[in-house]
Formats: sequence, structure tokens, C-alpha cells
Amino acid sequence: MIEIKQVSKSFEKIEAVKDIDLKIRSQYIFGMLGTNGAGKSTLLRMMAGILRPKQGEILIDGQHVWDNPEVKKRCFYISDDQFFFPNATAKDMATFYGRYYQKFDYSRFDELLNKFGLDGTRKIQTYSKGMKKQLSIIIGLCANVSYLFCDETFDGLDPVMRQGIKSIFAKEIDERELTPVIASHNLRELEDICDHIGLLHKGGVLLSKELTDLKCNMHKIQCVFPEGVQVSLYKRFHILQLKQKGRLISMTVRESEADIAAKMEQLNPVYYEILPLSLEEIFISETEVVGYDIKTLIY
Amino acid sequence: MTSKLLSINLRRENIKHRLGMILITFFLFFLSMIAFLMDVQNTCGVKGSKFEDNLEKITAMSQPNMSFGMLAVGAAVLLAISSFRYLHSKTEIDFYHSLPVRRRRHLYLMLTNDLVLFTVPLILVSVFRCIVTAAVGYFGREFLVNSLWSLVCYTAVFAVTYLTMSLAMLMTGNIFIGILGFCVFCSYSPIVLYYLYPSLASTFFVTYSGEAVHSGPFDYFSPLSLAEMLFSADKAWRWKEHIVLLGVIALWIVFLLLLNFFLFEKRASEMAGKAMAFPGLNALIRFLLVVPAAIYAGLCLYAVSFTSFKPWIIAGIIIGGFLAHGVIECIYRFDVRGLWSNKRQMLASIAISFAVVGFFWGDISGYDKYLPQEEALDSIVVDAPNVTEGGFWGKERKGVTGDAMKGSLAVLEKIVRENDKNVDIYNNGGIEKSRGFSSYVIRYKLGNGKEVKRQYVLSAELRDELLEQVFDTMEYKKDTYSLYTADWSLVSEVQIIYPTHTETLDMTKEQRSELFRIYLEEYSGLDYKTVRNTFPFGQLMITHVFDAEQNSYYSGFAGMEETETYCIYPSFKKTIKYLKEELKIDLHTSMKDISITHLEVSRYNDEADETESFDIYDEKFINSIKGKLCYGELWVNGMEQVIDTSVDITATISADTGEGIPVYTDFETVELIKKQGTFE
Repeated sequence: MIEIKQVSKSFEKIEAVKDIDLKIRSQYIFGMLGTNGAGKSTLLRMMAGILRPKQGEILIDGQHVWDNPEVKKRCFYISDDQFFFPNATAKDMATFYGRYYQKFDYSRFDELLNKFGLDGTRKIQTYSKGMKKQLSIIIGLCANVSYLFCDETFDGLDPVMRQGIKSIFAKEIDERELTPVIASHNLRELEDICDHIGLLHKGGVLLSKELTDLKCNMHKIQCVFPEGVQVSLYKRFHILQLKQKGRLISMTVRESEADIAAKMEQLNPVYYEILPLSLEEIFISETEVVGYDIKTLIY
Repeated sequence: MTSKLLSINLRRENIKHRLGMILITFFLFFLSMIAFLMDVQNTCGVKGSKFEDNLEKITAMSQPNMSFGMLAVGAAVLLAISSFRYLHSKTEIDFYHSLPVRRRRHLYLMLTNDLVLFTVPLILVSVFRCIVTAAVGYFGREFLVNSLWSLVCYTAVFAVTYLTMSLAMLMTGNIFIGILGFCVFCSYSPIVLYYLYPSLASTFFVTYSGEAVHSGPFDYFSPLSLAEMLFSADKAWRWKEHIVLLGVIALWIVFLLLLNFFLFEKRASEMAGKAMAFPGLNALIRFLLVVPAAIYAGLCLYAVSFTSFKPWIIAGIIIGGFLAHGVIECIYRFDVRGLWSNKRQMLASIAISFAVVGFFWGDISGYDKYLPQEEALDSIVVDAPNVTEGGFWGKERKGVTGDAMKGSLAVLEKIVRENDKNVDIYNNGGIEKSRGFSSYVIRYKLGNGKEVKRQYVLSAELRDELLEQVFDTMEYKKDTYSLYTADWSLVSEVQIIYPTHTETLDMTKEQRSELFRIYLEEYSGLDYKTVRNTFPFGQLMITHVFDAEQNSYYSGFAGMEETETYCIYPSFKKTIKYLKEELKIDLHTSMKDISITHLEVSRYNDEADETESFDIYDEKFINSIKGKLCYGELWVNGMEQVIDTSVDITATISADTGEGIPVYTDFETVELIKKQGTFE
């Protein structure tokens, strides 16, 4: 488990991360969402023990991560622009990492290289950007660590590849308690992979929830009531947002599908429909509740 | 995996990814091997060369030398840059600092790896040299000892340079700034600080005599000057010569090592790509650079103005302070707009520069008014003009003591009082006004072992007063005329000048010693009254070499030849007799016997900026003053008080050829001469 307690970090006069409190449970794929400059990378680099928090502490399995090789052995950090030695091949890099990560799985490395169609003897500098990202993830996975920190690693990967990686992650989580933490500014890309999402803005955490909770407890209702019938919807539903066009009412409510259906049956509308929300819509609603306009935050 | 095995693996990885730099280092060593081979071949290839000579030459090749020292310095800089370069790249620092290895261990690996990368080829080269030397038959114990000693010296220089470069890389976030930082570390103490005091003192203190500030403490704070001291000194290979120096280097290595470890752990990874890695130190570094830069700029502007208008210094300090501060700020920020930032600190730096300059300008320390208390004094050394340390080749100057010292101190009180006025006349008074003024260097030897040196400008009256106190003492004569205490075996030639001849004295060693003994005996009896009132008629020109072992002043002059002159007065009867009778010199002791047909009298007219002259052909007049003329080829060292140099007189000694010789005469005779014609 990763515990981030009251962590702040500033670069000269710029406060990159401010009083963040966050818990990341093991065996969850945690998505860290935020605009450029929201502090995602900074937080991730602090979690990886690269940067030292100015204030607060980061504990991984109860131990401080900063300059602590015992903890760092359980973590692998993939930056948005991963460094590879000039002229090195994928296999050279695997050998290098193998020196530091004693449980490095070379056979799995070869297997994954084949699966992803990467040539292990080719110089990395001849790889495309996407191939380099794939290689970073493969190395990270083969390092056999508990925590994998990925900074914008999936940005630019195609949806098929994302799904492929998600299934590998799922397998790894089951087999050896992997906890990937993925930072991205692209909500749609995280939606494919993550179980838990934290939204960062201006160095702080706006919200942090499990994706299933968000999705199951929030729905969009479209309904039409008979002409002249006045229904006090706010008293019956936990409405986050309500819009009306003529007699068509659209509302976002924080309730389960069964509860909504039961209540709607009692109200006897002319027509009603319960729709699932996309992650994007959930975020729009959630953040509007706390007074932010999400569109300005993540687009 | 055991920790030891992990270390070996990590070390191997570190080396594997720096192959380029390692190849360059090995290639440099390889070149040194080729050069050695060629040197040995050339030495052995000389036909007819003796075994002993070759042995000496080849053994000398094993001693520590500057060129190999520079290789050590170069390797240290290259290896440190290649190791610490990653600290300046965001991608690389993320990569390295995310690895599960303690920072301290990472640094330890880099340092030890680089040390191995330097010492392994160094040892290989040394072994190669030993093998080559043994193959040609010149290998011996001395060669082996020297080689081992060289290993110690080169490794010490490598370590101190490497740690300085790594410190510069650690303290910065950009490779260019890192190299600049290394240059600052290397030059700040031995150049910036060392020259600050002499530059300020020579500008503001009129009594500053340009005495060298002891460079030792300043040189100890730079790896390059430490290397220079270690390798350039004579017999650098002697252990006892450099035990202190190696001690200092060892201390530096320990200090730099601790500092490197401390800063490496403290250094924030996010500083990669920035100019400076410890922003908290920026203000201090800027201040340490801007203040001397502003002062030097002020002094430079004053120097290039070629005036004595000191306010140029103020302008220079303002311009220099502003520019230095601005440039440093631009570097800090990588932004030219930084020129205008931190104005308060810029003003503070300029204000401190003014305060430092003001301290010298206003002579707050009372430097120019310095006069020691009689009870604090051991002796006073009076350096007459033109008898400089460079020319003095005798034993240590001890100075005058007792009554002569007390009397001199009383005169010096007057000299100090009038010095400002006299300096002004001397520098700006023109030829006429400054005639008779001369500059004397006085060294006060204090009871506490220290020595204070001052330079004063003396009017003719003050000079007479001072010399009346000291000239008649043997202490003064021994301090002024080297021949009293010098090693006469260093003399290579003795010439004599007398009217109108210059000839080399052909004499045995014994004759030379006898001549010197007689001469010095008579010179010891010479009093200042005689010197003031009589002309020397001739001069001994003694050419000698300097010996570093024997001359305590200028060991650097060892082997150089210099000529010193000694006047012969008509009262030196024994000397004249010895020259005439023993050495068979047809000596003219006066111009009386010389036939002079014509005198040309000239002088320089300051106002008209031209030379004007007239001629004298009156035989009767010429004969009446001939006895008072002095042969102009004589350089009357320190005796200018008896000569009127307001006119230049050329005497024609042969009517046929028109050959002319320069002559001098006294003030009274010059007045008579001037009455014989009108300058045109």
C-alpha cells in the first residue's frame, strides 16, 4: 500500500504538489489524472524516490521511499521519456536492470518481446516512440516489482495495445500482487486500464474514487412526465445535475440503477430511460459538485 | 545476491556504458608509452654517448613531470564529466535515481571506478616503462623508486582534480556551467584573490614597492596550482621537498570527498537542466564573484585611461559590478533578462566593492604613513636605487642597526611626512623639478621576525641626510655591494672601465681574489663625504652567475649571468697600484691626460619639446675643467648626487676622427660651461 501523507513539493517559487493525502491500495490499477502541470509527474517521481518531498511523507508498505533501496527494489519507474543507453539493445537494457532488480525475469522478458513483436537485438535508438514505451512497460513488468509507476506511458499507445497491457496487468495483479500507478492527462486512455482514479489539479487531489463505485452509483435519467404533472424530483433523487428542454428532463443522479427504476415506476412517467455514464461524464458531474468545471481542467 | 557481487556487477555496468571515455583515457596513456619508447630510443641512439649519461637521462624520465601531470589532470576532468554528466539530464537522473541503490553507494561506485580507470593504465604504463628500461639495460633501483613515487604524485593530482571537477558538476545543473564552475574553482584563489591585494595596493599606496605576496596559501586552494607546484619545482621527485604539498593535497582530497558525499545526498534531482543545483548558495557565489570582478573592472578602466584620474575607478566598479552581476544572473536563469534582476544584491555588491576600494583609497590602514616604533625594530635595510634585489648576489641583507638605525628612523620620519609631495614632484614635476629626486626602498626588519617594505621618493637633501646616517657603516656597504658577501667563485669575468678605455682583466684566480680584497678594503674606508665630493675615475664590471643554493634572493635566476659595477675613486691608491703594477693596466685616473678638442653641450627643452645645444672650442677653458670631467661610460651607481645631469656633454677626443665620448661633471663646473655659450 502506498500512503501519501500531507506531501508538498515546490520548485523554487512554483508549488507543484500541495498537501496531498492519498492512499493507493495494493493490487489496484491506480490512474492519476490531471492537466499538464497538475503535479502528476512530480507526485509519481516522489513515489519512485527520485524527488524528495519538501514536506510530508510517502510510505510504501509502511517504509519511507526516499533513498531507501529496500523499498525501491519493489518499485519500478517508467518516465514519460524513458532513458536508454546510447547504442543499447533491449537485451542490454534487460541485463542492466537485471543487475539492480534481482528478481528480473529474463524468460518472461523474451516472451513479452515476442508477444509485442519487438526485436531484442535491435538498437533501441532505432525503435519508434510507441515501441520504446512498450519496451519500458515490458522491462517494468519483468523486473517483478510490486509497484509500477508509469508516467504518461500509455499516451500514444493504440487501444488494442492498451487492452493487451490491461490484461497483462490483470494477470500480474492476480499472480503476484502488482500495483500499477499510471499518470496521464487523458481520461479516455485511463478508463480502459484503471480501477481507481485520482484527479489532481493545481497540486492537490480533487477526488479519488474507485471506478466501479463511480460508474455503479451514478446514472443519467432521461424522462418525460404527463402534461401538467408537477413532480418534486429533488426530493426523491440525489440529483447532481438537472436540465430540462420542453418536457424532456435529463438528470444525473447518484443512485443505483435498481433504486432509480423503482422510484421512476412510482412516478409513472410517460417515458423514462436509465443510461450508464462514461467516465468523462462522471468526472464532469463529480467535479462540478465540488465547484470545478472539469472541461477546463482536463481538456 | 551478495552485496559484493552486486557491487561488482554494478561496477561492470558503469564501465560498460562509458566505453568511449575509457577508450580516450587509455589512448592517452598509450600515446605516453609511444613517447617514452621514442625518448629511450633517441637517448640510446646517440653515437658515442656514455653509459652513465644515458642512465642519468633515462632515470630522469621516470621522475614525475609536468606533461604526464597534465595528462592526469585531463583524465580527471574527462572522467569526472563523463561520470557526473547524468546529473544534468532530466531523463538520465530519473533513470539513475529511480534505481534501487543508495545514492551514497552510487557515488562510491563512480569514484572508485574512475580511480581504477586511471590507475590501471597508469600502472600498466609504469610497468611498460620498467620493461623497456630493463630491455635496454638501464633499469635500476632509482628508476623503480622514481616510478613508484610518480604513481603517488599522479594519483594524488588526479584525485584532487577529479574531486574538484565532480564538485563543480554536482553544484551545477548544466555541463557548460559545470565546466565554468571548475574553471572558477581552479582560478579563484591563485589568480582572482592572489592579485587583488597587489593590484589595489599598487594603485592606491604610493609607498607600495611591489613586493610579492606569498603565493603559497593561494596556490594551495586550486588543483591546477597544486599540480603545477608538484611537477614544476626542481627535483620534484624528492620526497622531502614535497611532503607538505602532498599533505595539503591529501587534506584537500579528504575534504572534497566529504563535501562530494554530503552534496550528492543533498542534491535535488529536479535541478537537472538548471544552471545551479543549490539555489541557496547562488547569492553567496554571485557575491564572491561580483565583488572582485567589480574591483578589477575599476582598476582596469583606470589603467587603460592612462591618466592619474582616479574617478575612472568609480565608473569601472559601477560598470563592472553591473555587468558581472548581470552576466551571472543571466547564467543562473538562462535568460538575458536576468541582467536586471536582484538589483538590491547588485547594489550591495557594488557598495562592498566601493568599501574595499575606499579602504585602500583612503589608506584607512595607514599604509603610507607606516613607521615602526624604534623598540619594535631590529634593523633597517636601505636599498639604493639601481641596486636591486635582482642584481644582489651576496648573502642575506641584514640592515643597519644601532645608532645608524636610530638616525635613519629619524630621517625616515621626515621622508614619510614629505613623501606625498615628493612623489607628486617625481611623477609630475617634469625633468627640471624632479632633478635629484630618487626612489629608495626601505625594508624594516622587525623584532618579531617580520619584514615590512616601503618605497619612498627622496629629494636630494633627504637622500643625503639618509645616506649620511648609513653609508659609512659596514652594514650598509655589505647590504648594498654584493662583492662583500658573495661567493667569488661565481665570477666569470672582470672588466675595467677608465678614461677612455674598457678592457677585460686577464688574471689568475688568486690575482682576482687579491684585487677584490684590496678594493673592498679601500671601499670599506670610503665615507659619504668623499662620495659626495669626488668623481670615481673608473669602474670594475664584475660578471657573475647566480647560484640557487647560495643566493637567498633569486633562486629562479640560477645559471643566469649578470654584471655588477664597482666605482674606483682616486683615493683608492692600493687598488690603482695593484692594477698598474700587478695587472699591468695603463690606467688613466683622470680625464686630465686625455686630449679634448671640442665639447658639445646639449639639453632637452621641456617646453619646446626639443634638444638644444652649443659647442665649446676654447682650448684654454677645456684644459681648465678637464680635471673635473668624469668619463661618461662609467655608470656612477648611486652617486648621481655629485653629478649635474641637467646637460649632456660630449667631448671630442680625436680631432681627426671626430670620436666623441660622453662626460659628466659637477654642478659648479656645469655652471661654468653654461657660461661659454647659448643653447640654440
